[in-house]
Amino acid sequence: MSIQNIRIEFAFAEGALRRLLGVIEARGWIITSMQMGSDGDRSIMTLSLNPRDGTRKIATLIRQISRVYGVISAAHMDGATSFIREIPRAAAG
Amino acid sequence: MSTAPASIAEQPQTAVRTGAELVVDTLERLGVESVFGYPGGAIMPLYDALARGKVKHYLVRHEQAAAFAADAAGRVTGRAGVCLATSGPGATNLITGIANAFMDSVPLVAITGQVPQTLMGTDAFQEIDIFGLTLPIVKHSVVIRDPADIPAALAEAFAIAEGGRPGPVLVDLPKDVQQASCARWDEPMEGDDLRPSPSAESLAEADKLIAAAKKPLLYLGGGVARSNATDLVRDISERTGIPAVATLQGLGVLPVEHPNFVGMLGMHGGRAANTAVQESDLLIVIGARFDDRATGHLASFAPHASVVHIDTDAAEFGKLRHAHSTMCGDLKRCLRTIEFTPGDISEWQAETRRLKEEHAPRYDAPGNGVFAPELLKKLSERAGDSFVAACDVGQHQMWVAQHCRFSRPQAHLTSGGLGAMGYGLPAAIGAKVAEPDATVVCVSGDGSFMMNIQELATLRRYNIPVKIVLLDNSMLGLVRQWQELFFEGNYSEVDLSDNPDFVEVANSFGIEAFSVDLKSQVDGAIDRLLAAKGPILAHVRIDPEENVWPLVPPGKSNADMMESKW
Ligand SMILES: Cc1ncc(C[n+]2csc(CCOP(=O)(O)OP(=O)(O)O)c2C)c(N)n1
Ligand SMILES: [Mg+2]
Repeated sequence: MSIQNIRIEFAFAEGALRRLLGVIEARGWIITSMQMGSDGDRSIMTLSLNPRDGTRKIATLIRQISRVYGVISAAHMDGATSFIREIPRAAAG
Repeated sequence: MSTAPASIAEQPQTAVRTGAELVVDTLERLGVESVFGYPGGAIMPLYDALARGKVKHYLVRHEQAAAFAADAAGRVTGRAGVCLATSGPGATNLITGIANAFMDSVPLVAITGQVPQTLMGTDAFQEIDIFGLTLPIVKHSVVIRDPADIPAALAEAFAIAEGGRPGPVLVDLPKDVQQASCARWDEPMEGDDLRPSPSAESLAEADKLIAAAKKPLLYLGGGVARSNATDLVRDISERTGIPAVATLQGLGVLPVEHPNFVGMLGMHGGRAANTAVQESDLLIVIGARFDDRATGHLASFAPHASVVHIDTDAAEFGKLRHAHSTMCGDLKRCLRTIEFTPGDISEWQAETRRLKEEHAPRYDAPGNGVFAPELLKKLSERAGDSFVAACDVGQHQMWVAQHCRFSRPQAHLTSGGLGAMGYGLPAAIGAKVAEPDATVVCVSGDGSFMMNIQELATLRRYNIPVKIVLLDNSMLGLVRQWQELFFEGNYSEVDLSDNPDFVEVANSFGIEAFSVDLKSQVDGAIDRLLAAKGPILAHVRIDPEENVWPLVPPGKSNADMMESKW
């Protein structure tokens, strides 16, 4: 199974990190590495993920992450199948 | 993410208010008329304020019932239902109800008391991390740590719960925040409507697919009700003549007698609907998510069909079934932009109508005993357009779905995604409180009913005129059916023949009740139920060996249906 790399920007909020990691694991992905930093009022996280089985689609996961309240953007970083959903800053708070 | 702003009345900041008073003020400003809950230590300041406010509180007898009642109120009205509980066990008792609302995309706001902030993280008495426990089953959640944030945070909780794809929002309120006095607070801000509009390409693709299809089918899910798009879908169906099938949550979008309605698809769906789906060359999926109970074996589901998928939640696109055209946004807005001009589909219409006629359910069951499907069909038809069913989970739930007539999807309250026994009675209470003119019937089974039987006390306390049809097969019937069919008749822990006398139980709660044993008593029983002014229970004994038909065995294709032997 191939490793997928994603990048998530999200607003600081209580529980935001737990919420995101929970979504990723519950949707069938193993987090193999993670880096995190911040930029002003937002956190930026890059993760490497391994799907639990062949039915997991990274595009679906990106959409599932994008709908988490407080997420500003979520992107698949591996070229052709890149997905990004910019959410206006006002809505992320 | 696409939250429509919840409208909120203005409040002048003239007096000092406690956090608890601000909660009540804000609920009132948001137009909340009733809440369901149960008090305890960490939420006592809020109960103190509630007693002085205008919001009506319904005291249930178990917090799970508060969440289920609020869920039902949310389904019926489209506005978030509200439930309250104390910290610790009160909060954990809400969890099943919150999960139920999450699985079925129902707007709900759950407010929990929490220990004071200085005690949070110390394993204090009744301290539970309810915020952490519910993270996977909420649309959003917040711990309010400053009373000045209360009006804005609560208004935002409602906006999130009700906007876009609805869902539950948990608001955890530490006791010190409820008690603190506050002279100035942040006012709620109007949110932007962030719902995307469908793209021109996806629209063009959808129009093309619909125009080219020989066997198009509308596939209607719970999203239609949640988006209040029923009238529009009816319009489209009537204007175009495209036949329609519905999921469990989509029942009632088209009434069962509508000539374009083929039936419910899925595990306990009709042969007509499942056959139509298998033959269709285009599924126009509106507010549905390809749940495995609807699709059966996914790889053999609708093998000839292209898919146009319309939903408020883009995360559903391609999750389980590839879509050739996707449209994300407010369902009504999406539906209005599609042209819906099919070619000549008259042969297909005739074919689906023939299927519906040929596979119409039969009600001529042998014997003198009550045939539950017939009772339910008659009851729903006699109650008419005001009929609302709140079901529990099991065989009786499937009979309601298969045989009742619903005038609208909000008339069918059923725990679909979670399948939670115990939903029926509290849901009936929530529905009747939210819609006093409806004829609310709780259809329950002898197993499910015992999971929230204590709510008979709530019915009695507020004299809520819910009609209960308790279908008693002395069995965990649906489990027994699976053991008969898929576990070689090895009946393990399904016998409930030591049930209490339900008529006596109801009477002891002060509720009118009577028994029905024979087919010949059914009409009289319906008369009595419909004539009752207060709460009433009909205890209906049915054959323990009755099964729900048809049935697609788990993991099999919807083409492989098992049917009744008679
Ligand atoms: C809370 C909960 N526990 C267990 C189940 C599994 N389950 C599904 S249907 C069923 C039997 C329900 O029995 P009853 O309410 O009598 O309905 P019947 O099938 O007999 O009509 C059970 C145990 C469930 N759905 N919910
Ligand atoms: Mg039973």
